[in-house]
Amino acid sequence: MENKKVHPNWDAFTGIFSIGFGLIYGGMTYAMPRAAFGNPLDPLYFPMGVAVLSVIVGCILLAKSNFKASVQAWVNLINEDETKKFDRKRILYTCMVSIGYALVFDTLGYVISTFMFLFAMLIITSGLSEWKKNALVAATFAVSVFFIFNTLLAISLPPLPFMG
Amino acid sequence: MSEIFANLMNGFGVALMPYHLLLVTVGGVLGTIVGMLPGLGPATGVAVLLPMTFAMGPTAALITMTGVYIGAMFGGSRSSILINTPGDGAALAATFDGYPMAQKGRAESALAISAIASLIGGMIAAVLMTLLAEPVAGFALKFGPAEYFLLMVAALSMTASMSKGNMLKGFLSMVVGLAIATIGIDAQTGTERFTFGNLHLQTGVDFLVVIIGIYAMGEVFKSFSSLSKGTKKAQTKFKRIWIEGDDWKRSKWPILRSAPVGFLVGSLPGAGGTMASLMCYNNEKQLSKNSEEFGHGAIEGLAAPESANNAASIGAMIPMLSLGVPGSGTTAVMMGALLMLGIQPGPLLFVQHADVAWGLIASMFVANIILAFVNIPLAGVLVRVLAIPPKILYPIVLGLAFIGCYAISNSVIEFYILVILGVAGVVMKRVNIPTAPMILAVIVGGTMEQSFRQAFRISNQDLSIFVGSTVSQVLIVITVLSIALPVISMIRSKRKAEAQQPA
Repeated sequence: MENKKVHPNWDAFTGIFSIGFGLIYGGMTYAMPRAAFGNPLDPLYFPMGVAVLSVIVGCILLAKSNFKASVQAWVNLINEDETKKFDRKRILYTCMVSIGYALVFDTLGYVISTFMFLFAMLIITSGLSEWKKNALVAATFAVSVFFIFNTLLAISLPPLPFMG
Repeated sequence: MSEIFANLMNGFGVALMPYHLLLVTVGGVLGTIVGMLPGLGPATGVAVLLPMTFAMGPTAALITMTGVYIGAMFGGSRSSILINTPGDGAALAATFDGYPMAQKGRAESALAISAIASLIGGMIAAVLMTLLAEPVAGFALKFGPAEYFLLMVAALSMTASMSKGNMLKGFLSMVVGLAIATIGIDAQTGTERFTFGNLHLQTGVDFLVVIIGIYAMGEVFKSFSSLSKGTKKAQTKFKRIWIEGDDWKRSKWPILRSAPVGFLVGSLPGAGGTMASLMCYNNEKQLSKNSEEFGHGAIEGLAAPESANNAASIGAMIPMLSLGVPGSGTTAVMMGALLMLGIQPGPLLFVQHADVAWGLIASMFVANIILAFVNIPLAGVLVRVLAIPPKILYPIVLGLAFIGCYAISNSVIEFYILVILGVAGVVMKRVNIPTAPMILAVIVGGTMEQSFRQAFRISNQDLSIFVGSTVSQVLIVITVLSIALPVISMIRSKRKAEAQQPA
């Protein structure tokens, strides 16, 4: 009886992604407004070629892959140990903090928003117990980078709100 | 030849100005520090330090970035030797014998030979580059749009094909990169493409944001897993850092042999320092009388890959400077730096901006010498950075990534794109999709499309223009071979494995 062990990999899912990407991208290319002058299809040729290539790559990947192996890779991902799950949570928190950073960057100015961002990031990476050290690192970074960019490199960053 | 020499001397005139010497030293030290940080490495280092040059003139900025680039290459192997964790892939081979040497109490010799080999490898490669860069550019000047398009196809195809064991995923990565490059207003017809009505996207996605997102953000996300492991303790107290006994006798030929090989491999798009250093390590192992010592602290096992690695990093600049096609992730970042400064690398660089091109080549010689001086006596001080805990380091790298993006466009929209790309970087790593083809495609995608359309237009939409010249035919053959050879080798090894399996 054949008893082949399946080595988990993401090839089948990657193939499906590639086909999906190619079809959506190709569809969007087709729906794009035509050029007002010259050959109306001129801006479409290259993206259409890219879409076709994506579908071809996806089909070959899918044909070569073992769907069960991709399902197994997904199952393994879900059943990973708590440490790895926590690493993924850290990524999620970082994304959330980064989006928050983008939202307040112009309003609060570089120094305050960066202090908040870095302080939050340091809590994500090292926990709350070292908050004094984290606050010091965040403040030093925010102030020194502001000084270096604004003064030494002449790249203007949003100033403090009360400095308007 | 005399013209090359005169040009190089002019380049030295620029590179040796006191202000430029200061910049190359500062850039080199910063590059060494960032390059040695495990998980970050040269590409991220160059990307993160790039904003530092935004306020400088093109020549000063390029000289600084050359310092950062070469410094990162020097630094990459410090962590390999001291904590068995390479700063980047190219420094991987330095762990094989560098770390065992450090464990045997020979860290001083290991650090010294690594810097000496890097210096000699770098200098030999810089000489080769001086001789080859302009002739290659001169040859490429004869290229029409069809040849230029095919050159980029060949470069991208080689990069994707060399993604070890992941050729198809390499192509997928390339496809996504090309798709990103098509975002924005089409320069020739004014048609909006994939902007989703967003004003900001009309100018396209800046390739530097892609680079910083994938390398800096993505690398930090990936490195979160090492946070739980804590910092590896690195030796920070050393005796005199220098080689001893018969170290030089054993290392000199491996260093001299590996430099040209490294240069050649580095100049091939997609091959890069990792392949060059591993190839030279294996060569030396086969050639050595002491092959049984390899892996247990053989000094030639460290000297050869270090020489090859540095030579490859300079070799990779040839296609970038002469043809406008970056051959590796790090040179892609360097090309990004040039484009940011309004300088288009490629055959015309040596005609239109000869001072910049030769200043850069001369600064490679200068940077190599300065960095050897910095890295040997100051290694003990510089490696203290390895003691910074990752839990503090990574947030700081993120802070630098964001400020870098803001400096590019003065807009926080880039922050969102950065987050998306950072997550994409992690997912790509997880599912084994190489990132280098994507970065390269983002950078050359625009020019590639323009060349394609120009060729198509001047031939009245006759596709035979793409096979019309000998250069085109050679480039097509290279492209086909770059795909066919890995496939054939894969089929062969599969058959071999099947034949070896018991029935």
